Amino acid sequence: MKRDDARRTLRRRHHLSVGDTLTTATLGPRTRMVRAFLSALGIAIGIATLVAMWGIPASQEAQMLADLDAQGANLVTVYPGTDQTDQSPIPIPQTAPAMISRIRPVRHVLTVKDLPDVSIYRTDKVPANQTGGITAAVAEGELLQTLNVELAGGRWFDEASVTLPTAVLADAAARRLRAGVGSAVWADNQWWAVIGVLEPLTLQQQLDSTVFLAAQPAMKLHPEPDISAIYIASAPRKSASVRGVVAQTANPSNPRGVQVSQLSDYYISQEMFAEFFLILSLGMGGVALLVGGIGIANTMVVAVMERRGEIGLRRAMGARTGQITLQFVLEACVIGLGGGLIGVGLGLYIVFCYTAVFNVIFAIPIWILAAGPALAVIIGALAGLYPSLKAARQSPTDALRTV
Amino acid sequence: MTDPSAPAWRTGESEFDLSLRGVGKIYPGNPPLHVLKDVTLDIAPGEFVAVVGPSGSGKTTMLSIMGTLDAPSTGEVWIGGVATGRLGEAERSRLRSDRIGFVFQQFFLLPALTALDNVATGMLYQGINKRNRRRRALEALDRVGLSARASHRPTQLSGGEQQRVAIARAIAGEPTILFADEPTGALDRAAGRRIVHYLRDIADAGTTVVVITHDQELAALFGRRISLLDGAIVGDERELVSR
Repeated sequence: MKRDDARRTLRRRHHLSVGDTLTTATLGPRTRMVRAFLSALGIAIGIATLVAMWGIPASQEAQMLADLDAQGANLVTVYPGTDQTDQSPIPIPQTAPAMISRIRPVRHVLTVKDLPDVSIYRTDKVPANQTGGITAAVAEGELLQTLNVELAGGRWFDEASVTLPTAVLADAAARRLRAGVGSAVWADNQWWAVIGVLEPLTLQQQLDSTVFLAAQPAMKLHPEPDISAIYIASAPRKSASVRGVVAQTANPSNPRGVQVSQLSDYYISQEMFAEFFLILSLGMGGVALLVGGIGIANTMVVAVMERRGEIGLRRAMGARTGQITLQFVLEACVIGLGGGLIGVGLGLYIVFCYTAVFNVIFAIPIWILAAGPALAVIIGALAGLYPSLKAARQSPTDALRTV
Repeated sequence: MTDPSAPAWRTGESEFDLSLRGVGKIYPGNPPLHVLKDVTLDIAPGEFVAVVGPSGSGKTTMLSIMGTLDAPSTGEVWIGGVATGRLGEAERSRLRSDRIGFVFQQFFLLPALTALDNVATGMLYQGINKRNRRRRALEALDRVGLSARASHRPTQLSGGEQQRVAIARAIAGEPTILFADEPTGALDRAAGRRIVHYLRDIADAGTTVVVITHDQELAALFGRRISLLDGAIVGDERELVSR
């Protein structure tokens, strides 16, 4: 009876509380802080490399995207199509710009309506047939933002100037007319005051010899002009998806009656650039982490060898093999976590320094701030698993005897 | 006489805390090493026992087997009426945590912890909560006369004091048996005598105390001396005059 009672008692296991488990797991690193720090440094360098390898290309990419966007990589242009049977132009519905601006990745929309009957002259003395190849047009929407162009001088139309006979000249038009801010040009038998001149539009050369007339006075003379083109600036690297839906949006009843520009070569190069850096990041970060993991494994192997006495003592005090395994695995996780946190800090600092030195936009994928320490903990656990199992499998007698 | 292989308490003769029946330990090799040979022994609750013998006589192996840290190659060890050879690893761990205390020649104190926390660690695997562990640890330190040094770290204590902390750690969980392997081996004679004095007090309070020593002079202070030579018991003397 006594024996049965005793055995029944022995079958019930004692469990460590979460607090006791964590306290026990941090005992090693607390006791040997320098060593724990040094081995954490191994993983920290790995995580820092990963963060830097991800952050530097991300920053470069952000800068390059910004640069490419500035050159029109994110631009999609919609033109009126032609009827297949009689080759007559199919006008774009006037509602198209408003519809297009509702497409989610669309940031800015510019509608250009050419005024083919209007010629622009430097003065009223120039013969009517010397048009100089300059186009007159009305621009609706955000020209400066959509085309990402600056003003060389003066200003764009505002609420007041758009009602008055004023004009903004594109670069080539201004040079051909030899006109600048403060001068005037002659069109439709009246003077138009030049209030602004644009910087050169290298990627939209068809617009570079255009004179934009103030919408209200121009439309009074030429009501309801057809849409010549709609320029659409999308969010970075979204021009392909915008391109996919824009024809349907612009002319839902006849999507084929709309012509959409081809994807910019710049857009395609952006995609290749992003892919290249992703592969580079994974490769170099992976190698760095492998090295960090080996560092932790090494530390844990040494810790297990060095702490044979403690392991033996704990077994003598009644620790089960599972509890010993857990203690050392968690200890490796703690070192990994420490290294991960240091690594993320270090990596961010490296990326920050890089962006400051090379004057590029600071960009870091936000997920890496959580993924870095999480990955470090996983690597710590994997690296600590073998030494921990080794520790637990030690015979308590051997562990105590060999000290 | 009933089954001679059963421990005495089962036969109704006496109730022993610890019984060894035909225990042997053989390490494989060529030739195999017989470290313990057919050891049969009964130790009653509260006995104060010294196991003496020269180096290599099998003392530490016997202590490891008695303390369930190692399994015998032959025979059986009974602790508190339980045949330990039939227990699983987890059950033996539980037996050690609840019933057995150990003291070693190297004190195995954790340097990052205070004396109090070191003693409390001894009850970590007993399922006792932290507050009670610390309370009982303080009581145990008091029993070895070190309550004033509770907040000191091991490096701030002398060798004798460190061993007393280790003893406090072993007895704080109130084991029924305390095993000590050369507890005075790293200490000078005076400190060693004090340690034996504390161990004797523990035995007097009812805990079975089994101490390994190669020091015959210290062994003379024990109530019972078991002599080992080449893995076999060659002597078992009891103090004639009661303590």
